[in-house]
Amino acid sequence: MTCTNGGCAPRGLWKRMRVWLLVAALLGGVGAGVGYYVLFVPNAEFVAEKKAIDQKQEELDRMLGTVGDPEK
Amino acid sequence: MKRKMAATLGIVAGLAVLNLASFADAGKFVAKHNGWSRATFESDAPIESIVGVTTRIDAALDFDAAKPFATAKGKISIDVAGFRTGIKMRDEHLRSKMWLDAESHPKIEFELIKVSSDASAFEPMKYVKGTAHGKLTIKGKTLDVEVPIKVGLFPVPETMRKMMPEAGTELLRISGRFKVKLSDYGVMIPSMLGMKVSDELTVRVDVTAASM
Repeated sequence: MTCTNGGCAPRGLWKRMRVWLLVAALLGGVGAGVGYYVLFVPNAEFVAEKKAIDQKQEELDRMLGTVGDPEK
Repeated sequence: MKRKMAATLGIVAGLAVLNLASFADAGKFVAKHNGWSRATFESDAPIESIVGVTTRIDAALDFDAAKPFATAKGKISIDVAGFRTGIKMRDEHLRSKMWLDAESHPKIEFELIKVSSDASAFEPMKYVKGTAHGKLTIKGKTLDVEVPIKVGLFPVPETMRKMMPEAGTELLRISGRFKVKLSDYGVMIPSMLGMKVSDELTVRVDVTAASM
């Protein structure tokens, strides 16, 4: 038994709890990260597709000679 | 000899008439999923910023070369199902009944009624600023809108000929950026999602249409 002003607890309980709390925090962090990634971050395919679409517009401006057009 | 000359004159006159007829049609421009047009929207909400993009755009525009802005009219349609935001579930939500309802209203349409501009005609190899006046239809609801635009008429570059074999001799480029309030068009965002999706979207449309 380990006793403090707050009462007594079986020896090593606080140590075991700390380990479990750490594991839970890590799992929670990983879960939150995966959740954020799934719900908020656009997939790589989209990023590449959008980049290609934007580049095509720039390519067109280059071909038309309007790259530095102030009205752009 | 006289007969031969008369026949030749007849052919020349006929060709001239044909040429005039084709000149009168010179103001018609068409874009059909050609990949050279783009529409994007941006939603900037406290929790999330969303960008959507599509190239599935059709346009049939009439800009007579002699009086381009006074005679401008036409239609631009965007396939609702063509929008991608980079997250599959979000794309499905966007197409669902609660949002843009792609099944019942597959197109977002802009009917161009006129263009007002300080310029009276196109300038060679340059964009001209103006305002497009028209009717915007989203989810079946039509509202009058005014969109600041830049518009230009360009010869089809040689390098593009292979990529756009159907194009005539000229390209019409028209770009506009404007705000759309979703609630004005009956797209109501549940309060739960208010932090994720903004009611006001910034829309940008770039249309590249070729003369036919």
